[in-house]
Amino acid sequence: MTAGAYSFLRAELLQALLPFVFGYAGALAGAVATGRFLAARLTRPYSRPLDDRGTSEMEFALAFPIFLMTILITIQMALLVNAALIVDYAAFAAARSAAVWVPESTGGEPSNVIGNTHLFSPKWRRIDRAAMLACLPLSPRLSQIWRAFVGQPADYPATALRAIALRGAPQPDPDIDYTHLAEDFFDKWPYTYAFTSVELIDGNGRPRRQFDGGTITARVSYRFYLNVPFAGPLLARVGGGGRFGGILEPQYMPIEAAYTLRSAQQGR
Amino acid sequence: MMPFRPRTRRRSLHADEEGQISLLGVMAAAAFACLLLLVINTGYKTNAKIELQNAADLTAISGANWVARGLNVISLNNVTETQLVAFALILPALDSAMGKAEKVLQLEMEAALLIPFVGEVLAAAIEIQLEGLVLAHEGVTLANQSLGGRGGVLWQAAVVLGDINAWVRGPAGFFLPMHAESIRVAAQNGASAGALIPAEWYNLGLPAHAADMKVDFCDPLRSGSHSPTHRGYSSLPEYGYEVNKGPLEHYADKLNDSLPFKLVINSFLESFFNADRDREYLNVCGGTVAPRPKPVDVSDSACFVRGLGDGVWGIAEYDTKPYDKRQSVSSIERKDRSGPARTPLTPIEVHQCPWTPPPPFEKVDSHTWREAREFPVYSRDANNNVITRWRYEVREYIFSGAKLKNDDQPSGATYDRNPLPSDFPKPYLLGFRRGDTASAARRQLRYLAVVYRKQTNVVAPHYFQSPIGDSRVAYGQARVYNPTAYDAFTQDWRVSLEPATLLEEGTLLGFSNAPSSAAGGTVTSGLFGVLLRWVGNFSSSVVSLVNNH
Repeated sequence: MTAGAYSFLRAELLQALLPFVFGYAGALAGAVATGRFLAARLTRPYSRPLDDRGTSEMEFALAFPIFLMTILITIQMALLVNAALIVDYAAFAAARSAAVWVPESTGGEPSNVIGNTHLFSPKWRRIDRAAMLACLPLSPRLSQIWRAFVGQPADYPATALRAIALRGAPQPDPDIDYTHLAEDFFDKWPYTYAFTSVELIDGNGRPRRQFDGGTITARVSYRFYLNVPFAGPLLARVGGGGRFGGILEPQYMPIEAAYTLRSAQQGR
Repeated sequence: MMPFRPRTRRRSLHADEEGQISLLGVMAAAAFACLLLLVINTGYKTNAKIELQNAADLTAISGANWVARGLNVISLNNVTETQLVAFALILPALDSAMGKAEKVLQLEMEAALLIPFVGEVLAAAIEIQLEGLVLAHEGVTLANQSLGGRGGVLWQAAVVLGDINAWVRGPAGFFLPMHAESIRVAAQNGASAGALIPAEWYNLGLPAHAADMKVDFCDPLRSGSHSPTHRGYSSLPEYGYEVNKGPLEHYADKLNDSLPFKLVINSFLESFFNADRDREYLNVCGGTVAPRPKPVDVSDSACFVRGLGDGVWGIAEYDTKPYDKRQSVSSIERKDRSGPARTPLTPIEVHQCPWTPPPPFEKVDSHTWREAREFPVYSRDANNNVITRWRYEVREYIFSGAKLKNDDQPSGATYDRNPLPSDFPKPYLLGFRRGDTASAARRQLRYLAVVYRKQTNVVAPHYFQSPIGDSRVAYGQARVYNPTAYDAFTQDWRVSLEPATLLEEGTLLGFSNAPSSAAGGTVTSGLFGVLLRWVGNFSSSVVSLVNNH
């Protein structure tokens, strides 16, 4: 097993966060000092004694945004760690799928060979699907974020939205009564389909297309949607994330994980 | 948002200025605790899913390993059985052939004594030969009387091996241990429950059926219903590219090539020995000697037909000047099969004899099969060019002691009359029943493991409940395969994971591929097929959501 490489836990990110941490700490200390100074000045004996209950409100007003920002960043980081665990599982799922499907001879692809294009390859379809199904719970609902991507007014027809959403998605069976679980599934599938990618790599991290029945390493890259206000954009800006574009410019953080499994053997 | 507090404490709290940040701090700490629990639980759950998938894979592999072991044991027993039978039949043949050779040598010695001057020297040399032969013959006779022949020790040992095969194949030797092992492996790897589902789970045994010795040892098609390429020895280098040989013949040739038979066979004993051996086979296997093929009228001087042995063989040779095998054969076949002669692919002058090579296997009537083999004989002409001569051997098998059940089935796989005596050894062939083809045998050698686990190690499970419940199901599929030769005579059965086509094919919506031959096709009949359709009709969405491979 290869340990997952989480891009947002790089040393560069921590170094980039250091000024913010110090800045927050300094600002907090400054706010406390200012409050105490003001409290001491306003309660001098030669001055008219004032109501000192405002001091705490002022301290609160000064410290609260910093405090809130710290909490938000912590929440976002915790969600990132959570996402990293799930992407790690997605790498396992992709490696498991590749370990059984790459040795097969199907869809014009001979045994132990996989093509470059994912479009018409049954092997790639299964491997991608395994990773996407694992990453699906991480994805935002398209019904909540589609405006940021599409940039259309709010009365954009839902059918067109569904048509966009279902590109590449599994087609529902009309005979089966889907529950809200399936609704959630189709709501989250387009984002997952668009921003999950799998690569089979060799020992040097380069793409690998020929196999020998030994080991297979799958690397899954996923764009985790940073949905915590203020903290998400900040993390994306300093941590190597990116923007999708559009009106609201939502932020994402790339997460990568790799997993190595022993390949199945080709039978006759 | 504000928590409930007693009214009496409001004033004191209002006056307290220390609680502002503390309240937020408590809320933040609670949020952090929740986040910590979320991350911990996610780690537990993903770990559990990976462990569950591994448990499914291990269950499938360990269960299928029992099948591979059983087939390896059966293959070993089959080969040993065949060798024992070959020895048991060769020993009397060698005994009688050496007796004949002794008589011939005695005649030679007596004839040599009539030659003047050198006769005695020749007779002495022949006598030395004769003494050696007599000495060897005594040993062979002793071995034959103590070991050989039908009903001898070797024969009985072959019968015992057949009984061992029957035990290995049956439920006690295979089915119960396999499932016990699967359940144990699933439990050891963290699953709450697990089971192995064979592709045809209503067959309580290894996919190997008992074959009559007649069918297996004497029929050129071995088991008949298997495909022609499924007759035991594929065209691999380790088998000397012998594609048309049954197991007995295979081992008889191996024995002929080996010491001490090689010394015998290369001498004048060969013709005696071959005839006696063939007669012994035919006696034991219940066949009769086919009439010699009628010689054709040879008008072309390049062709001739001659018989060999005691009428079993008909050999035709004719000359061609091909550049490779395929061209010559195709040109001959074109001329023969298409009525009016076509132009060959290449302008080769073919001196074709009127005798036409038959197809490799030809059904003459319901009791008779004709087998043809071709092999090249290379020589050089006056200009030192390589000439390829094609030699065709035609061999007819007539089964007079048995009647075919159905004429449509090739080679008489089922004999419903005059069954073999019970003291005949029985080899085991691949497939649950006689009529199984090679692809059917492949389908039967697939095993699906389904394991179940209830998530128990979640921290604060009441607050971290999954919308689809705590139970998780994983599945994996393994196949038993033989990379060397797909038969019950080659001891190379192995196990590998494969895509779970038993569960997924035809059941998943847009997820699934069309039923393909990627892993040998899908099961569409039998009880499991019914189960498969039920799964496909009623719970395909659930299957698709847990699908990983």
